[in-house]
Amino acid sequence: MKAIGVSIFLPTCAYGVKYASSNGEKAFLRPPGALKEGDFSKLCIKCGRCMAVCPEKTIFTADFGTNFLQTGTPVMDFQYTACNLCREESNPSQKMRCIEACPTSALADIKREQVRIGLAKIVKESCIAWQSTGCTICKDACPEKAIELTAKGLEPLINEDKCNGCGICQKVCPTAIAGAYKGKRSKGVVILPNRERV
Amino acid sequence: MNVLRKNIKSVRFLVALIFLCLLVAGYFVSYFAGSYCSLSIFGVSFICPLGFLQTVLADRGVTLKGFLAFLGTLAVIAIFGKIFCAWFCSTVLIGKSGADNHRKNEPKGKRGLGAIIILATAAVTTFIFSFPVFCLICPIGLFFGFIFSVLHLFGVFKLSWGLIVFPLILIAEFTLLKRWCYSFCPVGALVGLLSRLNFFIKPKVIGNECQVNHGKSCGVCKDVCPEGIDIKSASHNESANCTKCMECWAHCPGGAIKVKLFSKERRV
Repeated sequence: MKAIGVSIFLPTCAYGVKYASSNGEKAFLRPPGALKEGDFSKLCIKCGRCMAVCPEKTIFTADFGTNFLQTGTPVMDFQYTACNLCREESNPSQKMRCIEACPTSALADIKREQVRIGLAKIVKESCIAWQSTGCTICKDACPEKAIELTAKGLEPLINEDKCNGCGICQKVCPTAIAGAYKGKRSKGVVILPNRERV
Repeated sequence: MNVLRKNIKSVRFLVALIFLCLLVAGYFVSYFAGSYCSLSIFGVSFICPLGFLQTVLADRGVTLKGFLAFLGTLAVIAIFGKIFCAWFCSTVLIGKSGADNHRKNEPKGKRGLGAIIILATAAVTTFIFSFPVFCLICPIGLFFGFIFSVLHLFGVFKLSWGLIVFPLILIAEFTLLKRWCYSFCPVGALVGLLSRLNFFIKPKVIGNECQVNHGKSCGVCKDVCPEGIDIKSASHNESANCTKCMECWAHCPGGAIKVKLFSKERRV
């Protein structure tokens, strides 16, 4: 009897979840190579292998607050760590580990140049260089040289063609530390999800 | 041997715990990475058969990597049968596995259709809604969701709702749906079906020592079997559900049950 109950519960749950999540369609910061949201959710079984193999521990599980359908799926968070695309000086042929690990190809096998996790955005209200003066930490850290300074005031701007959303700028941005006494937690540069990723 | 016999439940728990520790260590050194939904051991990949089936149905296509991982799983099932259920599954760790909860005082009978019905529903629902539906409520996945939440908490000090919500769903499932493994678990049901490929490591009764052959009535092996298998008369397909939990071996009063690596089909 209970089995039939569960059998009724499962489709109801699936229906509810599917339609609850289709309304507020939200883009996520997925690991490199993630398919488009619709295809990604078909293939991701939330096994956590990408999380386990990530050497930088940048991949987390999506939380309940975001979207129940996506709970447990991998999302990236650059507040404390960032993705270095598994570049290793000692081993240049190292592939991106999360892509290697994904058992269902929800993370497709793409080249490093094709990676578009998201897009960096300068938060001018928080950015030290825009608010006062003289910070180039994100520009110096960016491995893609995607952050340029304005000629006049040396404020950072994002070159959207070069930025691959690796999050190193957000990780190193010192605004949260500098503003800690004022209770500020926002960074001067954040990665936003872009829907047209590979 | 006698120590093992008496503490078979603790031995199973220990094995499951060691594997969990290996997986947790894999989070940091990644030779042994993932969860029971999918893991790799020194580069060899395995995937949950139900998870694989669901991705095939949801995507309406087979991915090569998934298929290779599934072949790995099939190989394990062909050799060890349903061993996962009694020795590795997260239910063993939370003390809710079928093998830990004998059905001594419950009505016996052949394995019901409950789990198969849920398996079929999960498959159809996944096909209609195009995402792995059962993964949402799978106790194994929820358990590992909790483990990953804990790892994130101590690894990078990131708090998440998973720490509270995953255990809550688990508790709800196991209080509402008692005897989950036997009556409801579609993963176990699917592994049981695939275990028909398995011909190894099956408990067998050695005729001379069995008490029934000496004119006494006994049915302990059947009573303690979490799958309700009567090994004295079970057909190959029935005994495919054997989880190798070794309860029958541990409880047989005459010590008549041996678990042999390979044994021919028993003919009644």
